[in-house]
Amino acid sequence: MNEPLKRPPSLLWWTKRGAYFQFMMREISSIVIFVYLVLFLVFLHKLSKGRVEYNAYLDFLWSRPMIAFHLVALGFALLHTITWFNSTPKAMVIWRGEEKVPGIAMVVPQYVIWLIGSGVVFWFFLRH
Amino acid sequence: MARSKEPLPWSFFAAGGMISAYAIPIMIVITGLAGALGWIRAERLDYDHLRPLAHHWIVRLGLLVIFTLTALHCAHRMKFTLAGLTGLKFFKGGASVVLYLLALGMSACAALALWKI
Repeated sequence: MNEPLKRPPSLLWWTKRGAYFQFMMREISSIVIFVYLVLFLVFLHKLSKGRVEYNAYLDFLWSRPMIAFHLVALGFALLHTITWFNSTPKAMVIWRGEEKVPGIAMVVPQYVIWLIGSGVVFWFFLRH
Repeated sequence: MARSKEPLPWSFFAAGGMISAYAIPIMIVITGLAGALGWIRAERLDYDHLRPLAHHWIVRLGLLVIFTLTALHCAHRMKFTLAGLTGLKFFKGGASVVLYLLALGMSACAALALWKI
């Protein structure tokens, strides 16, 4: 029996609709964060090597192109954080008797913990 | 009924997604932006300040856990991203093993670097 001809999807399928674009941006965040992990791995390696190598790496890490990369990486990291927290009610349905626990009760505490935790870390480096 | 091999990688994906959601933004800010842009004094991140902090076993263990789980999360997600961007199912097949091994290899290197700090 003849099957209908299936047109192969365009490689830019994810630019056709807003929802697809948002999805792909979230997925691309994994590549950007992976690149950041490589930079952080080198950061740890240079810290283990001593003052001279660590300072030289810091000069590279804090150069303008790398600041630009870190700003982009921060944007993608925040996108991951926000979409991850917001999808918690869909990933985890909790029942209290016959009623579902409202999604907002699962999402808001995560933001609170995240903001407080990040604030504490930043304050630590600000003061010590 | 065939058992899926998916639960094990998915559990690392889920744990890595959670931990990276909490930790990665502030790590990017501290290592890449705060000192460079003057949000904190640059001396706070110099060798003499950072090494004693990073030498503490809790910090080393915490960084290793964050690094490993985030790397595995990224590896799991990247196979779908690369397949979606290129249209090549190859990324979901054999290439996915390479991505997981790369993540584990990087984590081993991170463990070694943290051990030496």
